Amino acid sequence: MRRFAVLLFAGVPSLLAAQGFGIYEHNTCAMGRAGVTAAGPCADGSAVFFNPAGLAGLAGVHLSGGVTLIGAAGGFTDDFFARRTDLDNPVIPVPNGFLTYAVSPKVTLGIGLYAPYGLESRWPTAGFEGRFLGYDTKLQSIYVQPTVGYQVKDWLKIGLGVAYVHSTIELHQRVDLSTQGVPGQPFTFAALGIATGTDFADAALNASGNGVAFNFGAIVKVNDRLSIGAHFLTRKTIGYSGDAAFTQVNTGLILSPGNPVTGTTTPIDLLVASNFSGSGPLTNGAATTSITMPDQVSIGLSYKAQDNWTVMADYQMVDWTVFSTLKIDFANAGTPDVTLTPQNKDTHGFRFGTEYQYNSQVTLRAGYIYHTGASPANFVTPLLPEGARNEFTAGAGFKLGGNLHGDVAYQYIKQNDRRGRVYPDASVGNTGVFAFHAHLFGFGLAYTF
Amino acid sequence: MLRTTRLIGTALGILLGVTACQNDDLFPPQGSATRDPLFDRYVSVGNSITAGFQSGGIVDSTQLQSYAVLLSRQMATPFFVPLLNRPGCTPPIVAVFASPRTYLDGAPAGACALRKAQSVPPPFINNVAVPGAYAYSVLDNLNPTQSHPNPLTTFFLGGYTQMGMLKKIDPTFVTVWIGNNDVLGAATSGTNGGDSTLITDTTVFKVSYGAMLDTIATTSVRGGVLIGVANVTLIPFFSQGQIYLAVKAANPVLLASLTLGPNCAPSASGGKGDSVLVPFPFGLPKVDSASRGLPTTLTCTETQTVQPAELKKLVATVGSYNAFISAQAAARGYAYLDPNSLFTALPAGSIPPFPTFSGAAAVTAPFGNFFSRDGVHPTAASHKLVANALIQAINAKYSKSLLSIP
Repeated sequence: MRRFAVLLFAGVPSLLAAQGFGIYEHNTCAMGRAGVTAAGPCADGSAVFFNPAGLAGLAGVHLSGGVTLIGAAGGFTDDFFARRTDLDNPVIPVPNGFLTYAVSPKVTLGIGLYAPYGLESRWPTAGFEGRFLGYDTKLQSIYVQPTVGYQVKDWLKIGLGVAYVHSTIELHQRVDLSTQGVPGQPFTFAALGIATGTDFADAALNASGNGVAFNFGAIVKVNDRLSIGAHFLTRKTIGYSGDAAFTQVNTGLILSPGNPVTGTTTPIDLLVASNFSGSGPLTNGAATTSITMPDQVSIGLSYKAQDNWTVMADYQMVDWTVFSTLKIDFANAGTPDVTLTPQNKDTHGFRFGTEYQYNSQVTLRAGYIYHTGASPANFVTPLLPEGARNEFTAGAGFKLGGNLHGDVAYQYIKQNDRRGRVYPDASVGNTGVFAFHAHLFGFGLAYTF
Repeated sequence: MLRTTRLIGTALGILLGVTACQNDDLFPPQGSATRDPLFDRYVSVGNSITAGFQSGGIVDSTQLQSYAVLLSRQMATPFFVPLLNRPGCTPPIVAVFASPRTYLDGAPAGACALRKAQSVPPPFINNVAVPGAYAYSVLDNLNPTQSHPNPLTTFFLGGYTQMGMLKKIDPTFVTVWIGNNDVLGAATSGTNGGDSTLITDTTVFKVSYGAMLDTIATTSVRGGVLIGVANVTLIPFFSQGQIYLAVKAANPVLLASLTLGPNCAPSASGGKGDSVLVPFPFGLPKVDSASRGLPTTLTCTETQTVQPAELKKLVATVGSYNAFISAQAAARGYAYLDPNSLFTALPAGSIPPFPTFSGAAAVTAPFGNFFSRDGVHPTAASHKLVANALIQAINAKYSKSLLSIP
């Protein structure tokens, strides 16, 4: 039974290699133009996240807030029977809010609240092979970031933010009896004939942690039409502590007389019950782990082609290689610790956006994004069936009267179909294809005092 | 400057165009693209024959020779088999007449290897057949007397019954070959060959068989074949008593010490030798003893032999079973296959009347090419024979075009 922990939470690194679920839609204005913001953030305070240098020169007081609704859909289709299991995700709201205050013409202070890592990946437990890697995964991280922007020269702005991070993680998975050792025997239940995919335990990990990250950037105004900017968010390792809980799932299976273990009629649920109590490996207990939020850098330009038309482009790189190793420590001595080596890759994103001032009341926006996936081919799992994506955005901003401004945006994400695995044993390899797409709707309001 | 910018833009556009939409594909099993939907999920119900038992044992190599596996390949449907590690459980016999008898890989008699780890863990088992299963067993593993459970019941089904595993798969097509053990156990009883009290009562058999078919009917099954019970009195495990007379006549010097009772003579000569069956585990040791000069007697009245009344009862029971199975197939829309006609149609001598107990053939094919080294279970050649007969039955019943196995 000690083999259990080798499998438990085995998908965590994949979850975090979540370029696609690493949310970048923290502002409806920016979302409409594909998040292209490095050289020219929206003038509503969202520069706190997108490029702190953009706060410099932002006069007065700006208060903005919004929500992005993420409706993700997808599924897994297996090679053998071409049977598809659909994701069972709810619509996920991701909030954001920003407040800025110009201390002087050269110095602007701000604070932002945003959630750059928000993920829920939910699969049905009935019949889905991947439930043993994870069937309900939630990651929430709230960043609260005081920021200062400074106009160094007419042509140079710089900015720095210090983000306090609070993150929670919740993982659920089933444990497959066939992969477990038979009590008192040198072989597994699979060797005894127990079918692959026999649920006998439900495992849950709930943990939270805090940390601090730094966010800084610069914008160079080359001339009246062209600006170049860069933004860098530092990595931060967050230590999580929480609880691992295990619940026995009755199999209802009964070993027949003449079986090679007991020789007599034996309910399997009785045979394994001792693992859930005393010093058994499946008893509840504390668990700790640490996760490094990766560095990310964006470099971009903004070009004013006409007085009312701007085109923009960003290149973004996220250093997901920091997730090369992950260790989960269980306080229960009977539960072996887990060390995983997901070997993720850097991701590269190419963002193209445009903004058109239709009239004094309406601004139109559109954009396109392509980025690569972080997960290597041998680590695409149900926790996050992640891969390269094409994304298309559209949005508009409206003057609503007085100093109130409203924005709406829509984003469609189409991920390339990607082969992945649903069995905890990595040696089995990929046995099907994950498909994924999402519709995102953004709504925001901004008020200038 | 503008030209350079356009070139860079064009190059970037081409790069993105090439890399942006590369979808991975499914890797379906070979041939599945042409699979008829009728065969999307095939399950074979049965006992040792369907499981791939040969030469008194079963191991991965024999399991993969089962007619059910051969049929699934022609259907191009995924088919998971509960493969066993070498040397098997129990290991197949290598030399049945050696002293001591030898087994695969030199394993001891009665050795039992575990289930084999497969490169892709089977999500379920398609060949749910279990050696030793009776008709009753497919719905109940736990009755110590009626279910006839054994280690392979656990190894193959992991706590499920055959019907339990079948429902898990929700088949579109089934083959059922069950009931052989309901008469075989009586016929081959080591203490009382042909013991009629060990035959499953016909009424009990029909209840079990009917309940099994009712269970199958609750699934997505859209077709299947019911295979009749084998006439166990035709297997080369038995030799007629009169054959022993012929063997002695052919080896007068070697078998001078063998005394045969008058009952071993054919009925035309006043005996019962054409309706008494002598199991080889009982008769051959006597021949062996005699060949070594030890006075030995076979009377053809011993309890270990199948007596005429017992033979009659066995044959009648098989007939009764098969009448019921055939009627059920007709009533429920399945095809029916009579396995006995396949073997009786073989060329004369294909099933030897007496095992070859000396020379190379005593090791390689002591019971001919169609029965394995235990004299009971079919060889790979027989499985191919059965598979092709099933293909013909399926094609005829369901207007399909499965290819025969060459």
